[in-house]
Amino acid sequence: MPGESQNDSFDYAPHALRLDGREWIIVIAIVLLFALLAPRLWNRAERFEPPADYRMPYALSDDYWLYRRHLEKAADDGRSVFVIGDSVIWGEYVTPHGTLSHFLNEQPGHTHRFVNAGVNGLFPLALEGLIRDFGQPLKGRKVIVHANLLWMTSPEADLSAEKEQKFNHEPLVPQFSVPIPCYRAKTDRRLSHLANRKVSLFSWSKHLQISYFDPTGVPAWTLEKGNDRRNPLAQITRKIPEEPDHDPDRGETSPRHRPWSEGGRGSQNFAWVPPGESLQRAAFQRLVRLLQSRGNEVLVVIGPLNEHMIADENRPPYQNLKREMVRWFDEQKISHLSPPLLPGDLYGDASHPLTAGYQRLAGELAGTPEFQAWSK
Amino acid sequence: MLFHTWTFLIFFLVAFAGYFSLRRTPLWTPWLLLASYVFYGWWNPFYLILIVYSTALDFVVVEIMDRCAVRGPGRRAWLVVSIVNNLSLLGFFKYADFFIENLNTLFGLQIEEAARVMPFGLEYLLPVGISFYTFQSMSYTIDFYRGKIARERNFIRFATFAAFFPQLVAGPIERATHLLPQFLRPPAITTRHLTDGATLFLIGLFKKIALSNYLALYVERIYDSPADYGSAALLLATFCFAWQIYFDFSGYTDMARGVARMMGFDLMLNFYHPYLATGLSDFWSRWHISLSTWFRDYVYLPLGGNRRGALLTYRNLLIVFLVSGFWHGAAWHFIVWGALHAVGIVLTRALERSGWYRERCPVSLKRAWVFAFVCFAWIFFRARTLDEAWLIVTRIFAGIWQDPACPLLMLALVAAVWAYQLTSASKRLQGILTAGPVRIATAASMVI
Repeated sequence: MPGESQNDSFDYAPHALRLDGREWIIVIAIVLLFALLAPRLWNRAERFEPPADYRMPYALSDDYWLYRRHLEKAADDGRSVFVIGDSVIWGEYVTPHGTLSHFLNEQPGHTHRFVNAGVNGLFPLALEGLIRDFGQPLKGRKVIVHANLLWMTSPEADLSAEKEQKFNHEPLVPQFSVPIPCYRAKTDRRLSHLANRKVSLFSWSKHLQISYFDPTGVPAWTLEKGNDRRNPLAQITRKIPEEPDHDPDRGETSPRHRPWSEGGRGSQNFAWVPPGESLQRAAFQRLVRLLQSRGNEVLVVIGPLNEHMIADENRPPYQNLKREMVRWFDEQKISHLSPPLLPGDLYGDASHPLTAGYQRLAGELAGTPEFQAWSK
Repeated sequence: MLFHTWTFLIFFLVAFAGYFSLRRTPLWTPWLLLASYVFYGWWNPFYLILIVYSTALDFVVVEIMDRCAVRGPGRRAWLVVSIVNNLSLLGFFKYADFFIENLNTLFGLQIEEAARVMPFGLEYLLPVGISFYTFQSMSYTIDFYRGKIARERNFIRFATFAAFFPQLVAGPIERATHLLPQFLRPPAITTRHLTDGATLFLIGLFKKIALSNYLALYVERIYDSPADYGSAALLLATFCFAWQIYFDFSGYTDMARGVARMMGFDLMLNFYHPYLATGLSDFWSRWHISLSTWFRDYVYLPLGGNRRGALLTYRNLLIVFLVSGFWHGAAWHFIVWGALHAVGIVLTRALERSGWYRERCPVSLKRAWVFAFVCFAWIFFRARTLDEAWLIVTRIFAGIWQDPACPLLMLALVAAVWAYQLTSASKRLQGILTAGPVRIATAASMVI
């Protein structure tokens, strides 16, 4: 065997792959070089020319490497205000041309300033992780953060319930630092999530998987019908998939794009989570502090939640929550706005506006002196 | 805690750091024992009760044996106590339900399943690695009885041997004569130990994650519903399973040996290119070597080996392979798998010893038939039941054509490994693989 010392009686292996110290150093250097360069070079090799109203395609919602790239690209293009949040910012029922950021860009003097940096399926506990590990390009920028009180409507939505739950964006929630009672992933899975977030090479390889193969990986992709004889390398077209031109689930022609109720009055009784016990609220507060520590100018937009849906007797606790939130922002000297409730027929559900709702919301926001001063 | 997990990486870094710092103090074995129990208890802390019990009993038994006359009945009686105890543990946790089910079916009995007798509401689970550590512990008592090894007087040292975490759950099944003396003094850790260990670990990790797990996707698809697939798919799935189980098992062993090597320990070689075997006996001298030699030394030879004529030799082989099949799993299809190998060896023993076979039969032909036979036997190992195994065999030979939809990438990977092994075994070509740049490129590609 190569490099074997004469007095070494160890029965190594029947193959020739045996490295000495010097060779291991070379291997480690090659791997480090690859880990360092491959994602960067890939940035140049892969075409990514997002249009003005670009948002992360629904199918690529878990591609956090692409999210960072989207932010980098927007920052490079001189876009100055990033709107971050969950599917309310992303636009659950609307096309990219029907979102809040689109209509903000339509306001006089604001053309091409606002970036849709929302991700479908997010919630504050995951948004915090997303911004912490993939939101570096936001550093020093103006950021509008949407506060959606929907995440405090029940212990389940707040993720503070004891019963085990499966939820979106599991890799982004705190894995060890904050106990999430309903999150029961094993230690190894949590460590794996952390590694994928912290090591750029891993998130880049996940990007390749999600964008060009099966989200579960290349092996699973080769087993899909019709792929068994395909060359996996030929799949990597260096062109990131885009949202379909016509999405049957979104836009004004979609059957989903309709008001939440015919009557416009609801009797929903939410089991609001007290502010002091809410994991989502605490995560939101940490997120805002994180953005401030990175030199961001933050403006928090609270709601507007679809209050039409809430039963009369259930509104006071909601109002209390909202007041408590406002109090905290005031205490922390964080700019915030609470736009007025939209008409009931402009909501698609408890929190997502329809296209006209976003248009109206953008107008309401842009019309306030606070917003005008902040966004200058 | 499995080797190919992040949890193990962190565990090993801590365990190694502690071991490295303490190796010049008397605390190095207690530290290794603690690490081994943490490693094992990570699955289920209750498993620790079993391993501690088994270890303590064998330690005490040997102490008592040591006080008995060397060839006296006392020694033999206490050896029987140790063997019965170890086999009872194994029997209860691994085979109880198998026996109960078969007794109930055969005699129309109503014996309740083993889970009902578990105390304090504990769950009836097969403790991880019980088949390995009971055999390893038995090797100590048997070898002591045979006078091959001295009594270990330090319980911590013995317990560390019995629970040594690198090989605790999937082998290699070490002999007391080989591993126990390594705990007498702290092994030296040289750069060579670290680099060898890291290389073995890398190879094992690659086999497990990149190869075995990939092949398993196709094998599971086909073997989970064999009635839906034709001859080609079943044939290819069997072929893939042959490699999957090799990559999985040998990969895990490589990682175990690598981890131990980094700490300065030497665990025995467990796989030696088994699919390059030129005979069935040769296959068993290359496949799961630590188990094969265990059965040879503690079952086959005590039965008389090949010293009492052909007929008894064949009987002994049959017993060993039936027991080996049963060791692999508590189900009839494992026993049939063992029986197939026994019959194969019995039928080809004379042929393999003939001058024509040894000198004139082309090596490639010998390798081909051995591989084909081993693959055929794997059908019975992998199928979920004996009926399904038979269904798979009949459908393979029925010539039912359907697109097997087996990924070309998968077959190309297996072909590459096969070619690597053939090259490695070829005196004329192996120089290609030993060249420094080739080894470095191979290792770097595996990491990436």
